[in-house]
Amino acid sequence: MATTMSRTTYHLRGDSIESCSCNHGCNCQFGGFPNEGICEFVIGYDVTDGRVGDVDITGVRIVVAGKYPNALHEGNGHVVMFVDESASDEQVNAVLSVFSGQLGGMPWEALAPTIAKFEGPVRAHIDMEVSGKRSRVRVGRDIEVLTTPLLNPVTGAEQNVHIAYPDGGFFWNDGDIVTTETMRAKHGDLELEWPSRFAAIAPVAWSNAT
Amino acid sequence: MAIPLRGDSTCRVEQRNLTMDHAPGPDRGSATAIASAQGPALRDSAVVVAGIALLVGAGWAYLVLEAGRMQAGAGGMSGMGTMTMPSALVAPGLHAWSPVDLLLLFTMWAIMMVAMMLPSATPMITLFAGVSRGRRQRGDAWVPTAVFVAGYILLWTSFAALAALAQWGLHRAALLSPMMRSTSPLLGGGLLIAAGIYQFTPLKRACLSQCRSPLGFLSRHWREGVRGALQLGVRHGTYCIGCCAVLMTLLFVLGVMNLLWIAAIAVFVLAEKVLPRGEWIARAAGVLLIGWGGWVVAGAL
Repeated sequence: MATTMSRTTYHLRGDSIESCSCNHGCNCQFGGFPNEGICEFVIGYDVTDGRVGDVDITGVRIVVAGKYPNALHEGNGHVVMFVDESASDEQVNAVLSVFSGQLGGMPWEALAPTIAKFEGPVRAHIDMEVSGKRSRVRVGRDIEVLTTPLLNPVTGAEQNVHIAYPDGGFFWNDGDIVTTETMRAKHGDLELEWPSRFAAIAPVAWSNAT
Repeated sequence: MAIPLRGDSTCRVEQRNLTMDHAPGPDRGSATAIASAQGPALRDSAVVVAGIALLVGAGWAYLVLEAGRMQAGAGGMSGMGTMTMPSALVAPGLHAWSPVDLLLLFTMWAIMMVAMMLPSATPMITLFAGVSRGRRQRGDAWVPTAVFVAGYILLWTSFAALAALAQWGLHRAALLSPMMRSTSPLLGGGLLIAAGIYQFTPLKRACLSQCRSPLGFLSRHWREGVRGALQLGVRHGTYCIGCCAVLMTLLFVLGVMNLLWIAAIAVFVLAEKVLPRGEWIARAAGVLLIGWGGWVVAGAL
C-alpha cells in the first residue's frame, strides 16, 4: 500500500469567476444536490501567484467548463479545460497536473474521480478581467461569462452579498456573490447556457502541501 | 468481533489516460481537444459497492436469523436455538443478564448499526476509493478504502456499546417487553416526539448536510495516511450517528428486533441522505413522528 514517493509540490493563488446552472447559493457547495438536478458550470481562473515544482505559473489563465448529469459527487462529469495561448508548454503541463488532480491537493483530487470525460488542455485565447462584481471571462467566441451585481428586487439597488466559509470552503473561502448577464459555453458536444443564475467572484488558494 | 470486513482493499487497476505526456503545442490557438480521458472506473466503483453490499448483506442475514430465533423463543417453546442471543431477552425476568448476554447484545447492536448506516455512506466511500485509485495509478502513497470504512465501524461499534448498556438499563427497570419493546406508552410516545423534534434541530441539519455533500466533506477534511483515513472515517461516521442516533432509539419503542422497523428506518436513513430532496424527506418524517408520538401519549392519558 503506502509507497512513498516524493511528489511535486505546488501552490496556487488566484482570482476566480465562477458561474453555474444553480440558483443563487450554489447547492453543490452546501447541500450537495444542484437545484436543477444537473450541474453545469464555467469557471475562469487567473493565477496571481503560483508555482508547480520549478515552474512559475503566475499570470496563467485557465477556464474549465463542464456538465454533470446529477450532483457533482455522483460523477459522470464531462469537463473541458482551456489554457491561455500565452502560456508556455511547461506552464500548460503544470496547470494540467494540478487541475486533473494528479498532484493531489483539494479540491481537484476529490473531483478527479467524478470526471468521466476530460478534454484538454485546449489552448485558446482567454480574455479575463476580474473587477469586482462586474467581471468577465471569454474563451474565443464560444465561451463567455459576464457577471453583474445582484439587485434588490424592491429598490433596484446593488446588493453586496458574500458567502464565507470561516473554516475553509470547497473551492474558495469567501465569495462575492453576483449573477450573470451572459453565461454560455460551446465546445464540441459540450453546450450550455445559464444566464441570470449563480456566480461568484472569489480568490482561491490551493496547494498539495500535507 | 466477527464482522466480515471485506471492503474494496483490492481495487482493480483501471486505465485512465489523463497523463501529462500529451504534449500541448500542435494545436496552439485552435479550440481542439488534445488530451481526452475516459472514466471513471466503473468496475472499480462496482467492487466498492459490492464490498459494502456484502458487509451489509451479512449484517442483515444475521438480523433475520436472530429475529427468527427470538420469535421462536418468545413464542414460549423453550430457550433452545437461542444460542447466540442473551437468554434473558427471550425469557426476561427469569434471571439476571450475564456478561455473556451483554456481550451478545452488544454484538447485535453493532451489526445492526453497520447494516443500517453503511448503505447511506456509499457515495462517500466510493469517492474515497476514487481518490485512492488515482493515487495508486500514479504511484503515490495511498490507503486502502477498507481502512476508511474501518473508521466508521470503529465508531459505530462504540455507539453500539452505549446502546447495549442503555438497553440493559431499561431491561433492569423492566421497561422493555420480551421483544425488547418499550412497555411504557409515555416513554414510547415521548421518544417518538423527541425523534420528530430532532429532525428540525440545527444539529441534525448540520449532520445531514455533511452527509449529503461527500465532495465538500472530503475536500475540507482530507487527512493523509492510514491514520488520517481512519480519522476521516470516524469523523464522517460521527455525522452519520448525528443523523440517525435518535431514530435508532425508536427501536426501543418499535421493538429492537422488529425487522420491519429496522428495515424501514434503514431505508429512510438512506433516502434522506441520497435523494435530491432529502432535507424535505427529513422534515416530513419529523412531522409524522411528532404526530404519532402525540397520539400514543394521548392514548395513554
